[in-house]
Amino acid sequence: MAVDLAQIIPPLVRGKVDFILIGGMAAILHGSARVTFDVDLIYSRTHENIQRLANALAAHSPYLRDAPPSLPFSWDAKTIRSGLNFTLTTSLGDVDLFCEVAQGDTYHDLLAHSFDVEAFGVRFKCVDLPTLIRIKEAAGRAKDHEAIAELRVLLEEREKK
Amino acid sequence: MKSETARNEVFVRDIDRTLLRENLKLTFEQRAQKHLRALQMVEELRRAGKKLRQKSDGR
Repeated sequence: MAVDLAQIIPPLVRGKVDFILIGGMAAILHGSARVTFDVDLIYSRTHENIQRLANALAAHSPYLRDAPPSLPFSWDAKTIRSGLNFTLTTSLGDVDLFCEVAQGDTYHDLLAHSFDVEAFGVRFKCVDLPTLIRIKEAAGRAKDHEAIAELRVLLEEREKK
Repeated sequence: MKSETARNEVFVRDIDRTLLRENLKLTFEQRAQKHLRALQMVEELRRAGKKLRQKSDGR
């Protein structure tokens, strides 16, 4: 299923969920020409936000990606509190939720390194380009080498403007 | 460390800047829409490939 930011982001914003777009979709908004198949979000772990996150996604059938269909899994605040990161399939596409990224940065750490995006009829936060590069570098994954190079070029091109 | 830098330079050299420059002219929403169209094309090709494999396997 093709994941569509225009479908995933608005319900979260309307549900007042505190999150920041990171990963490949953030790279797309920065101008990347690569294709990515899921949406990565870092979310605030406050009590209230966990409840809002549970409510906002509940209507979209979240389930653990690649888990057997019979697994007893219930998407609610209790489940989110007892876990940290979730790789989910939803009726809106695949969504990865992180409570922290490489180097231990949390939602609150990344707030100062994010900016507001106005799109899809809502306003939401996206990680800035230098921080996105730093996160990918810290993750140290072989598959990210080309993506990091592209992000560096984007930064160069943007600075030329 | 030197080889790491050299490898990064190779990756940077091979990036198609024309695609990125075109993307930078677009709004955030247009970038997301363009990505969605590319993603839908990839998924269509995957489906076609799967069908073809099933056909050639006689399924």
